[in-house]
Amino acid sequence: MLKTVKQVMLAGSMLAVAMTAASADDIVVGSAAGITGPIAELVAPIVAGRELAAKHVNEQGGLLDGDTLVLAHADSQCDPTAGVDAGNKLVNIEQSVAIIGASCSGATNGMVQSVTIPAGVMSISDSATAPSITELDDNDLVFRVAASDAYQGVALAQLAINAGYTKLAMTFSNDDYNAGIASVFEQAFKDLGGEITGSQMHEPEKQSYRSELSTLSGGGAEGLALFAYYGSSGITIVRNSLENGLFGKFLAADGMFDTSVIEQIGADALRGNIMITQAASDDANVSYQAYAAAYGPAYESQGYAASAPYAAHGYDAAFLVALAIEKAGSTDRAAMSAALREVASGPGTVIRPGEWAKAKAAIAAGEDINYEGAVGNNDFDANGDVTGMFSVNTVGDGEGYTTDLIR
Amino acid sequence: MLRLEDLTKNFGGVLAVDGCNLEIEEGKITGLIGPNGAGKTTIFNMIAGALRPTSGKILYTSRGEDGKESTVDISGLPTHEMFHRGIVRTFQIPHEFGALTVLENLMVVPAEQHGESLYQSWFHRKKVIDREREVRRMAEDALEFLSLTHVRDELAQNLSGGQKKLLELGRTMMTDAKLVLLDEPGAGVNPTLLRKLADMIRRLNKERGYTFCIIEHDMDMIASLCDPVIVLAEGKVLTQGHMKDVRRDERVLDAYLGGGEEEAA
Amino acid sequence: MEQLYGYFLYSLSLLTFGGIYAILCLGLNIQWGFTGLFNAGVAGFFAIGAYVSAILTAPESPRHLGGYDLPIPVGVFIAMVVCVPVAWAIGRVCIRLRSDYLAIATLGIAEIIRLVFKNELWATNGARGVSFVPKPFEAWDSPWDQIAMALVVLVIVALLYIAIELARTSPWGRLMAAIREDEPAALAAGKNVERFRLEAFVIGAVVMALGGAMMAHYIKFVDPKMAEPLKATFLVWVMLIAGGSGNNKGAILGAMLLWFIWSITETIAPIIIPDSFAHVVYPFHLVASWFLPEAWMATPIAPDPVTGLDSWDSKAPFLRVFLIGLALQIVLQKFSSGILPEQRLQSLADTDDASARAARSSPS
Repeated sequence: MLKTVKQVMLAGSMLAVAMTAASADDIVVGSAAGITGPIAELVAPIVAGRELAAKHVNEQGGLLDGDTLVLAHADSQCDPTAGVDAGNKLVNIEQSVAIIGASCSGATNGMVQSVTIPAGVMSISDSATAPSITELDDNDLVFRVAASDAYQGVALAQLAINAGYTKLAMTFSNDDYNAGIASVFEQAFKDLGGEITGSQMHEPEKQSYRSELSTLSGGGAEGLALFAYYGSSGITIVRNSLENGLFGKFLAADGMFDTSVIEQIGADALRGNIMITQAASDDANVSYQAYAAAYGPAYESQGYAASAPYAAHGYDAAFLVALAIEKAGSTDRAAMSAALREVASGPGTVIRPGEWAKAKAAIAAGEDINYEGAVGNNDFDANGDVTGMFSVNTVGDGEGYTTDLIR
Repeated sequence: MLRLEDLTKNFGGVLAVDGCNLEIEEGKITGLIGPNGAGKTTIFNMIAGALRPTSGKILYTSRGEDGKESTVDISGLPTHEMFHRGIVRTFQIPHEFGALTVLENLMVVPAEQHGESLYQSWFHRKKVIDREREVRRMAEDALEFLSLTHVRDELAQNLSGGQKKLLELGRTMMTDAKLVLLDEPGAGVNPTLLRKLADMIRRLNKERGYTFCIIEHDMDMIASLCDPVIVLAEGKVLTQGHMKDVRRDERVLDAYLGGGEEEAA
Repeated sequence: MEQLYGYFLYSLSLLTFGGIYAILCLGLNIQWGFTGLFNAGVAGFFAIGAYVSAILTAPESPRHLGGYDLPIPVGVFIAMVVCVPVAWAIGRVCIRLRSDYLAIATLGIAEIIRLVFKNELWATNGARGVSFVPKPFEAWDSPWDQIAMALVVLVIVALLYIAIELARTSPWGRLMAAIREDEPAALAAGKNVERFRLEAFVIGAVVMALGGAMMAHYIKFVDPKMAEPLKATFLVWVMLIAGGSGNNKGAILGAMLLWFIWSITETIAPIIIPDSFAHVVYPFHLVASWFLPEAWMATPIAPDPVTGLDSWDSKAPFLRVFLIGLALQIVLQKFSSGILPEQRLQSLADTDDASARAARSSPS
């Protein structure tokens, strides 16, 4: 026992030495992510996006006086408790200047409320989308480059009205993500003059959803608004609806966006009958292409694609933090959020992904800059949110999705 | 002091005890013998409240504080109720509290321990400690009686088989017992200890006035200790009386050698 | 200097988390360590404590029941009170079950409680959780707010320790141990075993609710994920078993130690373990993932020797799952009854009784 204690203490002192030595010309930015836990597979390419941004910074002159940007990772596990623990480590042990993350909304809620806001540390999440984060009393310290579900819900409601729907039934899976979008959609659709004939929550992973769907189909709705993950309930609901003739038209959010929906239901049954919104990047955009050109070759061997969900957001979040540090001209935590607002929106020299050397030179020359990121212009509103960009996916003439950006 | 009237226990169609009538007299050491499966332990379990009789009565006569005798049917009462009426039992296979010390094993038993209430043990510490001293004195006396003082602070799980048997007996000494039911106290005990055990039972009977009822297979022990002896077979009383007479009874021999003869015939 | 200050603040958070887990462990120790009740539903009582206190103290919100704005101590107290009838009802039904059945029943009930909190959207905001839960002393300046929070938790642990230790060393504790060791014999000793088992169950559950409430106020947020069995039940069990069940000091030590190891390994692992070790661990992890339930295994990222971009840092969390399992194995193999095994005390009768003690210690 005593020996174990000694070893732990030894390890602790080694850690202390290593940390102090490292801090001389490294600038540490915290990176909280659900590295383990339920969405580990989604998180890996996002973390890679953050790493890529750090690499660009370090290859093109580094931060301030040639200091190295180091990302310190901590595992927030998609769980509020772990989020707080990760935040504590990043703020106190790693002495992070700012924090990127956390991944899940629950972990982010815990981390920012309990740790980073009280400590005065700025955080930018690249994938937390819960509307409740908007309302936090955060002293302008909490930002995100991923759009709140509120915006996607509104976008889908507008889309439905534009497509001529007036009466819709609605069902949503009982998880924080889908339930969040659903409640925003319901409100927005009503505000735009639509009518929700019935709304049912459902538990994922059931064998059949016939009873829920029969109840919903009674209201004379023209279609079904479906908020679910395709694998755990979405596909089953579409199949049950079509087989029993309950619903023929579907509107869905990005939990349903996957080619397996077409593979399992069949393109013919869905052609002209389904609309799926998705948080999108403008592929045609110069910024996105600059990012994708760098991301692809670097991570292809690991099987991560540039288009992986929120990978581009990860890149933008990390790049924005680096710009904020450069703009602030110091590692003073208190200066970060004001600097971030300056570099994120115009006017100023436009900076795109990968253009660190250009940004550094512009800031050194005292010019204003405006980062146009891979996922959009990243202009933060008063709550630290971005409006985001969405696409609508339909089944067209071919066997796959036809994607159009909503403008 | 205890009379069983038509006591019956039916285990899903198997009649373990079949209309048994017997009486245990106050102040005596009654032996209960019979072949395996005669229903002896089942009767004990019913008297001690561990099993609920299927039918029949257990009439218990006790003297109240005013000295008046009263008889009530106690069949089906829970074990702790039986205990509070002075009916205490031991087990065939010792049931010791293994992770408690020998002293603690005895100290658990007495009733009216204020410290069993959380409120008292938090806020009336003094009262609890005073009672604790009494209880410990009682336990130490019992250990001395049992010649177990040298293992007082040993964990009960580390005792030998014989010592555990003694501890079983010791638990009956920690309360105002009136009727003590001993289930095979001599099983697996060496002859020296067996003699000591018989001595102790006799002393408790004489000095403390315990009434005993003993299930036992060791006929010598029964012969030296018990009078009367009740013989059970197939859930019923076969005969009863002094051991000398019982030994000569042909029906008893039949019951013990039992089925074999019938099959042969 | 700033670095040292950071370590100081981090150690406060370690103590706070460790202390909250110690509260949960003490509750489980009453049930399992003393009385032998196999409660596999710690998470259920944790959730009741967390949600009730959070909803009672959080400001009004259109997303969930609330707006009562009660002071934190009142919220925590009511959460514990609410737990009494719930635990009593559950105990009344389940307490007679043998230990393995009791485990199954309580595990199921804890899941039901969690799903109720997840599905009653009007009250709890469902899976999206309750935000804006107030934290004690949050208006104070750093570091005093964090020092005060840690102190409050540690004082609660200390008070609980004293109360539970007083109970353990009194006839109450002895009786509970007797019930755990041999129920028929405890019955034969005239004890109302069912009543005492129920008492231990309810008191343990109330202590767990206190732990849940403290967690909610510390995190400032509650969602159903926090009450998943892996985190809120099994981790507490592991802590108690490793620390030493039946021993209150062991319960506290187990909670602190395991939380420290859990939290610190992530930071230390990449420093003390060379990169190449990842290649050694990976195959084991992969093999283990074929046999163990998915929830137990973090999905491993294969170490990639080509790009060098994906730093070892991001793999450390996976290694730590492995390390904590290894540490637990070593503890359980070396200390089969936990690090601090149960101690049988001498009788309370010895208290303030120097002469008796002297008499016994002298050779006789």
